[in-house]
Amino acid sequence: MNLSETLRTLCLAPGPTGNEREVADVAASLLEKYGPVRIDRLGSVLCSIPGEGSSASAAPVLLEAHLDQVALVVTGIEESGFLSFEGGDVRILASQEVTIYGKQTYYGVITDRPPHLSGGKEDTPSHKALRIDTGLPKETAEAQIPLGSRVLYRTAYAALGEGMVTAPAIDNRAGVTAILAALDRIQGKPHPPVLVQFSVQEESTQAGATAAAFAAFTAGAEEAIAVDVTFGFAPGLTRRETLPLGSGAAIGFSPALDDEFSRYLDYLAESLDLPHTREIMSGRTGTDAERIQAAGDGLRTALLSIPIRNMHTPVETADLKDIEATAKLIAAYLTKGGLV
Amino acid sequence: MNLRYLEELCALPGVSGHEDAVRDWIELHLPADCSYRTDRLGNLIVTKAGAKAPCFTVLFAHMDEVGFIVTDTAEDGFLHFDTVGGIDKQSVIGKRLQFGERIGVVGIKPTHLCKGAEGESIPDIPSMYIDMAGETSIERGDVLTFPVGFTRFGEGYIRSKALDDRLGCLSLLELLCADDLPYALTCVFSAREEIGGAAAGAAYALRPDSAIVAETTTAADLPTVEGAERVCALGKGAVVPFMDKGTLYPKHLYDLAYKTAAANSIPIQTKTKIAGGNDARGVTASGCGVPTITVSVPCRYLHGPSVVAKESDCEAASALIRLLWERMSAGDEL
Repeated sequence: MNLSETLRTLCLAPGPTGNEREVADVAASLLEKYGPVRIDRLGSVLCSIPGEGSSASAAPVLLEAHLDQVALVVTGIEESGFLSFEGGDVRILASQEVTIYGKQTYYGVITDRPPHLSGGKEDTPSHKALRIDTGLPKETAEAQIPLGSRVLYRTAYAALGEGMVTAPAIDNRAGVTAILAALDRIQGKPHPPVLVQFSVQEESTQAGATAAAFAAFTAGAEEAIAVDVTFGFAPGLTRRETLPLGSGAAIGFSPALDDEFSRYLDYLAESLDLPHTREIMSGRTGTDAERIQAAGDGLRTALLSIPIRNMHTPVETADLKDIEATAKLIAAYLTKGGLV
Repeated sequence: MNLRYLEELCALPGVSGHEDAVRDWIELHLPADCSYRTDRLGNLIVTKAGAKAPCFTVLFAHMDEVGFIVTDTAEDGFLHFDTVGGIDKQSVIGKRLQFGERIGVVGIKPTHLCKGAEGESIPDIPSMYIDMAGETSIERGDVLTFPVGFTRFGEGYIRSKALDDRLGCLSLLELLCADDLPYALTCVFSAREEIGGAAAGAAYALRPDSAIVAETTTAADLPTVEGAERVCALGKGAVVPFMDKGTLYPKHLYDLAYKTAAANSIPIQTKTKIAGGNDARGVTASGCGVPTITVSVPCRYLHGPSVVAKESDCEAASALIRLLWERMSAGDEL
């Protein structure tokens, strides 16, 4: 499996939180070769992969990554087809190109401050001063773009230097890619049954992970690995609050996670010489992990994260090596430490 | 207007002082009856053969665009930079930039890690950095542009970097390619307009009787801006101002522009705010003085990565530039 190609395919598919159908279909098609796939009532993609060899009858292990991405939402139609909207990091919105998911897709540009009106004391960016410029007559916009239509950044997936990539939605298509790459690695090797869950709505309600993890619990799962992204080092940030890109799989250590599980993954990565770091959190992880471990009467849950820069912007940036290291660690866990 | 040509022109890198790629492209597309030279400041001066006009009227459009210059290379391959020309910091943060075939991104602290007002304020340019993933071939003094990309959208709109002033360049080139001009035509594709301008040197060398500057200008016709602050509007035609921050335009040329537009049903509008400035400033004051008028295409989000213009305004400006040049060359304004 080509990591970059898979990540590109996933990043190109729209999946605004709450409207994930298109990226769900893409993820489902990527999963089909591993086992039967279904999409649950909330929209999450589930796949059940039979075990192989001596661990074929063990309890299934749940692998989870969220599928959705942060989105803007249309809240009003104004003169000359300008749209008011909410959502997004207000600091970076000006001048971004966007796709509007109305009755059909439309191109838009977020407005920017006219030069003669900039530099004053009103220097704080605000949604009040921003609109989406559609170039459509107002009547067309009103007929074709219902309020509530989702809007995504349309910045294309691109390589950055050697081995790095930048795109919107790397949070968390990087996690989805890591799980797909892990499934690729365990094919033909002994492993327990695997349940894959690509959840909807992590960026908003986390309802997707909650419901889907309950299904996994019902199917007998006793442990789960959640895969998400975390904060990568960049100028202006400290080493204490971030992890360097290229440092490998970030193994979550938190009172909210299963400590024994975290330590085992750390031991495994250490003994197999896989690039890894520890991500220490003092409480909640801000991911789907808490929702998953609370399913039914509980799943032992670990969290693996991929460090990225510029989270929740159109220029999210990741190092492919970290995705690969995460995939290898998941595969190693499933094959009981077998070198894969 | 040939939009395929416009797309090609806008894709070229041409940060002020580094206009070579634009100049080469224009030279390559000149018709055979044009002669040209590049002066010491980088202006490309083109003359198309023809009859001598009673009044020597030269056209100007600038080749350069706003951009970025690398001021320092930090460890881990992060680059510090400054802007070349006036660029709002809001137009830069969280965007991609272009360096040849490669891209960089201007990073930002994740909103999750911001404390207090930090999450709602934009860092100043000296605190920003370009992330090129450890690219080592880039040096202090190298320049970058906003990313290449040209889009037609909505009903008759276009969006790209560098429409300011490749639109003017293409208007002049298309006029140079016309085969029914009444007089010889001289055009200056000027350098460094965004940082003060080199056009005055070319104007001094040519000593024209009058001049027309083909430009773009800021339009703030947004729902968030009211009244005169809107300056001008897309879809309302060519913009001919009576005054801007650099030039007080001669009344006789201003009136001639409006008479010419009216007689030929070309939509025309003025600016409702004294804003902006262009090569007209330097050209007007060159030599013993050159009466100069500006014809602009109204553009939203000027000096940003996503400049927006309307095709109908581009056509109006091009048509007006030609007719105005013919009448000024004939000495009609006198």
